[in-house]
Amino acid sequence: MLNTNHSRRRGGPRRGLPPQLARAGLLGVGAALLTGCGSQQLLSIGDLSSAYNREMFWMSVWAIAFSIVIFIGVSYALFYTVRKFREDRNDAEPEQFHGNNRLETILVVVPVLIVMLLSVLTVRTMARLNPTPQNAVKVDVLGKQFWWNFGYPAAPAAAGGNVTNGNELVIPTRSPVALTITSGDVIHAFWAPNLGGQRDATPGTHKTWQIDTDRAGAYQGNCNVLCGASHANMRFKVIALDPEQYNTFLQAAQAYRAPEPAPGSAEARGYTLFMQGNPATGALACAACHRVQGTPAAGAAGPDLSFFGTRRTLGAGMWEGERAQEMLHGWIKHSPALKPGSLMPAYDGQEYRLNGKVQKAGLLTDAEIDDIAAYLRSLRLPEEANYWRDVPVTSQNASAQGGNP
Amino acid sequence: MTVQHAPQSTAAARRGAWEVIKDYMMTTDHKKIGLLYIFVSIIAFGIAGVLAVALRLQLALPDQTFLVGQTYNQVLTLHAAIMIFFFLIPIGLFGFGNFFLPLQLGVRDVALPRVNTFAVWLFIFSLILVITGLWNGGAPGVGWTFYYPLSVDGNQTGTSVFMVAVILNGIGSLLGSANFAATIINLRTPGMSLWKMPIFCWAIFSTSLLQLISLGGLTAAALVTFLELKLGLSMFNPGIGGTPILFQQFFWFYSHPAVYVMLLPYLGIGAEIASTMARKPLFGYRVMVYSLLGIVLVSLLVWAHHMFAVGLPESWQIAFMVATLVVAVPTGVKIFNLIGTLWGGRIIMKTPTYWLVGFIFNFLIGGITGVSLGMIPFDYQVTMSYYVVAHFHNVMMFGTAFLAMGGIYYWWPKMTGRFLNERLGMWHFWLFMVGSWMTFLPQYLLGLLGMPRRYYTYPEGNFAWTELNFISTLGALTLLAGGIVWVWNMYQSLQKPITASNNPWGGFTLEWTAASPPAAYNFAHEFPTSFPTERPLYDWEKSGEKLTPVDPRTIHLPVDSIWPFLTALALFFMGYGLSFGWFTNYTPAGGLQPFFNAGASHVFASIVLYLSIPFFLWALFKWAGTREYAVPVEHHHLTKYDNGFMGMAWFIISEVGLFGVLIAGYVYLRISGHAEPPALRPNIWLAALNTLILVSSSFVIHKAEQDHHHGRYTWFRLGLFITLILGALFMIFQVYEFALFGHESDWKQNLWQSCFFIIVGLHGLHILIGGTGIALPYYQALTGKMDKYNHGSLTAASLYWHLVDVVWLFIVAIFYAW
Repeated sequence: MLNTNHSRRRGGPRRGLPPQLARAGLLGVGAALLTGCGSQQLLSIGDLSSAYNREMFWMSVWAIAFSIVIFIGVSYALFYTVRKFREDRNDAEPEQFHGNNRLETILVVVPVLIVMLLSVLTVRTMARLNPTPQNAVKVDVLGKQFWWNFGYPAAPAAAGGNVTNGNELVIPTRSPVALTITSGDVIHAFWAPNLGGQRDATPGTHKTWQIDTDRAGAYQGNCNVLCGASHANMRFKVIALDPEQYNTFLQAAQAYRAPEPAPGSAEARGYTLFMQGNPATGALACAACHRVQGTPAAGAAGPDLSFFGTRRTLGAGMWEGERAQEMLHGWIKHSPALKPGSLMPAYDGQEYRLNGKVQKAGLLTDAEIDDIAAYLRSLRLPEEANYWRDVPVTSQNASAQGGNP
Repeated sequence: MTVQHAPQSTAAARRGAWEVIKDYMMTTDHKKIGLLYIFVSIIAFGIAGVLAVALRLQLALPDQTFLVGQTYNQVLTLHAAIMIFFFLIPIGLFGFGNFFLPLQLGVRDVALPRVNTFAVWLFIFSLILVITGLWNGGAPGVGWTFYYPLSVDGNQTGTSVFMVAVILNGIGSLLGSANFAATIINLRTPGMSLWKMPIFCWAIFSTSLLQLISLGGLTAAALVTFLELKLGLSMFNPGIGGTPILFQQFFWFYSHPAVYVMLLPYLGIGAEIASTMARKPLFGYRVMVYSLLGIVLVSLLVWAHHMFAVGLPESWQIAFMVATLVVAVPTGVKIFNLIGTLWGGRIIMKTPTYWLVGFIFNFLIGGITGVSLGMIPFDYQVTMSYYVVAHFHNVMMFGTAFLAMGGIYYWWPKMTGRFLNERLGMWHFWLFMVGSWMTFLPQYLLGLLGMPRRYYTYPEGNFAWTELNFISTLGALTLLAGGIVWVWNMYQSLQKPITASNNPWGGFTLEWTAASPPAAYNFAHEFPTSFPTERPLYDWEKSGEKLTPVDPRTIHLPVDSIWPFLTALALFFMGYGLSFGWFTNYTPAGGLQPFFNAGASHVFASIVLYLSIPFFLWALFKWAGTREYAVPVEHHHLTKYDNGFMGMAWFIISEVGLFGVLIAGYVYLRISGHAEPPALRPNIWLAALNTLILVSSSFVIHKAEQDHHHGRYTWFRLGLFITLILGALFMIFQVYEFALFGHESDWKQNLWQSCFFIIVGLHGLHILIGGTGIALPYYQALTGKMDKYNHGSLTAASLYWHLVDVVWLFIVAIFYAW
């Protein structure tokens, strides 16, 4: 059975948000709200730290104004008419008139004018938002069932290939970031509402799209086109860093080579299993599907694991922080049981059904799995390049991290 | 009145269940067919509604495990597909349309009553076909939009049956639409011009037109997906240069207009309710008709607004954005005119009025949010989010479905002779109203707060997600309660005796002159022939004109026939075979395998497929060999064309649409350089020979038609025979060419070849269909069913054959000559 109940552990009283309805009314000013909602992360298209959202907001103000006028006007006309002319208040014989041409003309012309104005506003806003600026930071985005890879085509790694990170995208603040988005299987979509609009990841095409923000922080992103069983578990984080910090990260990432484990350590045993698997028990090598920068592991079927130890999330954003640490063992052991449709093989030696087909898992002992986990945790960027270090975390696990639900 | 009708109802109650079912299987009565559509649609609404509640229960709180992953996707897909294809489209267009269109036009039936029986059963069988998927691997889980390439992903279940059901339902739907259009053009009561038709008839006419023009897009999308699943033929596969986005173009070319198919009939119902309940003429009847036609036109030009986030060229996006915003204008006119109709009236505040007023208010919100989605930068943000979910439920569930309810409350006395309970009706209305707001208004906020649609779960800790989702689930339960009240209301009403008078609301259109419920022959009277306005009953009361009684015994109706039902049943078996079996054993993941390596269910279904073909032909020929009327009757129609020709002429629009969509897709792939012909390609000379054969066959059948017209029956039969021979020759050459070309290279590796087999193969299928069509009048002629007054299906078959011929000329141009 699938056990996707990844946060039952946090029982107890729900973190209360009594005035949430009142707050929901103030969505337009997301930036102000973000500071006010404590342990919750606010996803909002009204996050005005993004130039995209600001531009969209000024376009929408007109539409919102017209909407309010039309809504009030028409609903007043409707309810006034019904109230005035209902049978129990009006027993006059109805006048049998067939229409009013002047009124009809007005009711056509006025909406046409409004529509023309909105069209012009839309085109004007598109002209500002859609072209990719020359100075944009370039990132390659690859979506696959059910994870993301973020590569930096302008940042070749010393160890070969480009700097690439799985499921966590690091960008600089105050600069447009041009994402070149594609998919390796079905259609996905990259959407981080606080940073701008979405764009589909379509196999066979590369579409470029921009996001940006002025405020450093971690932002939630989600896949936004139905892509299979774990569509809901195809999440990602965007970490916006101030430019200096971002450059530090990128330089360290370019120079990064996976640390060599000390001989005889758990990490060293994990390294061997990672690279070779265990052919005797049918356990496939992790390296066949995953890349780790600076090692022979160069697989492309799964997300890049080069900076795994630095990452906060696991399973494409299914778990974060301490919870991710706890889940790692179970994840390696039997990922499809935790994430529906996950294509990562199981390592518990059991037969299991994956999307209707029976698969036979290879076998790794719990100790061996712990060794692999230890190796994965050792894949850390140098501390000065740890992009999570100074980021104000406003996410579900922020409080859990302190052990204080 | 009561006394007069009471014996009828007890007689009806005494009939056994089998008698009733048999009656509905064989009936050609438009009213029974309409009731069948309404009944099945309501059942479908119940199923899909319960599925919706299940979805909401899963999302009530974060990290629930009630419906996980693919299970959730299957429930989601069934919910949407059933709601759209088996509730909201059919109940308005075909349910109310069938029941009330002939009544409002003052005629006794639709143009082609037996085609109507065939269409309703095709509709029912396609619903059953989807359900058979549950014990054949599972329901479809790809969303009702079945986006490529998710639809051909090896992990998906139920996609082929979904495709087949969509196509079968589409055929039924097109036949129904063509039937309505032919009825309106050919069969109005004398004196009623098009501009004096009730507004509901205009709504049905414009909806039928929209279906006929656009449904080809959905059929093309489903067909190409199906062929990729079963043969590896593809126009979308990026691996061989296809574009997945082309699928979306095909799909939305229909599925956006479908939104208006789910709106226009209800706007017609709303206008009828407004006029009757306010006791006034419509405000701006002509403007309302122009708005309907304007919506038809503009709605065909907005489909790409579902694809803004795909990243189409900006010029495309802007063009479709403008059209999207423009469509708000005629829609707004409808709303203003509904209010204008109520203005100055003496409004009867009964349940139908409440549904109408509720609709106007809710639709106003839905319309405004729709305009906001047209503004592209905003759409980039919220498309595919819960904002969109809220918007289209706003338009459909607590928009047009409210008028479906209004229609039921308004016409219930006419349909059943009984009233629905007003008190229960108000409970139903307010539970639906409050339930809808609670369910869907929070979803607007969820979209603005970044929640994507089609998520089976969400984590704790996103601002307001938990609270808003919880409210939404409470709303869904409220809707469920409202639905139960509604069903109870209908049930208790049907237990009561028939008491309704002919015209309980004081309506102004002709259906109110029939008995409640109407007799099989609809009217025991004839109408005056003066129609000063669209409200004849009001005008006649003023002018003192009276109905002329007619002795019902002199009225002849089409006789019941089991053959349309059996023909539809054969197509159901064929659909079952095509879905779960096939002529080979091919899967996208496993490739071509030996046939008997397949599972038992695949082999079984393949056998069903083979058996269904002779069954289908048998039932079809028996149908063609059975006369529509027991006695010779004089058909009178308003145009010089008979009903068969007229129905076919409208139906052909849909064939043009289907080939038009596919050919446009191919031309795009060719021009953009994706589809390059292989070095070895089919020979132009064989195609030229085939062109000669087909063009001559068109002349031959035209001559045959003339011969029939002039009573030269031997020459006529010979002409049909030669046409059949020429068609067979064409098929032989084409099969030879296909075998050769399929052998020379692999269509799974070449996009051009794939397009060739899809489009030319579809044309080949049309040759088979057209040939069968010609075989029918030939059979009728041989068995002596045809004479100077009985054309059988000759004119329709010949028209169809000409179409197949013209399509071939296009195909020669784009596949052989180019």
